[in-house]
Amino acid sequence: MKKFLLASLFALGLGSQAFAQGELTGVYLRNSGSNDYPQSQWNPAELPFTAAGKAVFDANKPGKGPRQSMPAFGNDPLGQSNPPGLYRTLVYGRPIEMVQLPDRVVQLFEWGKHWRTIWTDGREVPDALVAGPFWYGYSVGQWEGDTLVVKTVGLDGRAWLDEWGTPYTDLTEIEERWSRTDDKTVSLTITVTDPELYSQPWTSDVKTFAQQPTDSLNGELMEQIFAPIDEVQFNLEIRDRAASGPNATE
Amino acid sequence: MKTLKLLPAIAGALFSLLTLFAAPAIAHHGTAVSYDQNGWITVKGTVTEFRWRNPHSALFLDITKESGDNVNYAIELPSPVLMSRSNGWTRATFKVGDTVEFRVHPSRTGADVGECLFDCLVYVNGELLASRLPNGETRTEGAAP
Repeated sequence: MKKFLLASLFALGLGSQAFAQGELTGVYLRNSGSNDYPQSQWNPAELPFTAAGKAVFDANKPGKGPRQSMPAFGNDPLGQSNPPGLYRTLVYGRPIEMVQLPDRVVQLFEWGKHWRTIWTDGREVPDALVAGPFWYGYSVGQWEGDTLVVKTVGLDGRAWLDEWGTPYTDLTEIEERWSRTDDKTVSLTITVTDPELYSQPWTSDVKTFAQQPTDSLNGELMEQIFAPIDEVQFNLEIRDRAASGPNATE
Repeated sequence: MKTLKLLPAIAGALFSLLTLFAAPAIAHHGTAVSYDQNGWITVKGTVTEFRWRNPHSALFLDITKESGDNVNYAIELPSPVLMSRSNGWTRATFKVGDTVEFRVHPSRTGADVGECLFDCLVYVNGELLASRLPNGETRTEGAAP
């Protein structure tokens, strides 16, 4: 039915603006801050944790944010060179390249050198119980006017939602709303739904991303792969050594 | 007069705040908390290894401490992507045998490890290297070593 409606819109010429090429294409860098937030980089307020959610949050020991501790004594999944995952990457300040095609939007991430696809071809969102788990989820988008509304399921709950240890699970569903606010900026909000961890869905603040000219410092994505062969050496010779001097208390 | 005396402390506090707020955007795995972000020390020694690796680079120096002990000191640095973009550094910036002076935040536990992500005041064989400031600009001038 949905495909029929989309086809009808196109036949009437009404869908041409929504699927116009190049609305999101470009390289972007997040330029909105979150350093004074109480718990999550995604939300300026405290999160509506369930008891189970708070327990998971408390068990996550990040190296950044209001609960930061020395990484040598933390449990950040990145500490062993695991992938950052989709939402931690989106909130991190590294270039993202978006390529808008007629049937999808592809996002290329410098951080970790990963990518994700947002399908805009009218397909259905897969059953969250069946899809994945994927570190970068499975995403289907639809245009609502100039806003690309994305539903992501099939996530791998071993990753964190941000640098500060905000949790999600394999069954978390996330809605993203991407909009171009002007010719140099796109914005993003996410709504997180997970009854196990959160007593109600919660919506992030508006994250903004500034477009980077191709000839600027951040205008070209470069390689930033996390290789275990390097991480193991770093942990042994730098991270753990820095935490184990003569004045160590842990 | 009191205000004048307090100016360095106020400037230091402001700089620390800048560094504190800027660090989460730049550090990769949150290692910044392992170092005294309010304190600086300067280490001077001879390069034994420059590790140009993602997501953490590192420089190793043979130094002589104030105590007279000779140690191999490790400096944690940003990723190659960040150093090449903002500082113009390359994997050939430091060579084994170079004499290097480097301003770093020392390990909070007193280990022979430091870290610098911004404004490192680095001299290689007596010449100042460009170094990114917390505000995104680049330092190209500094005090003589």
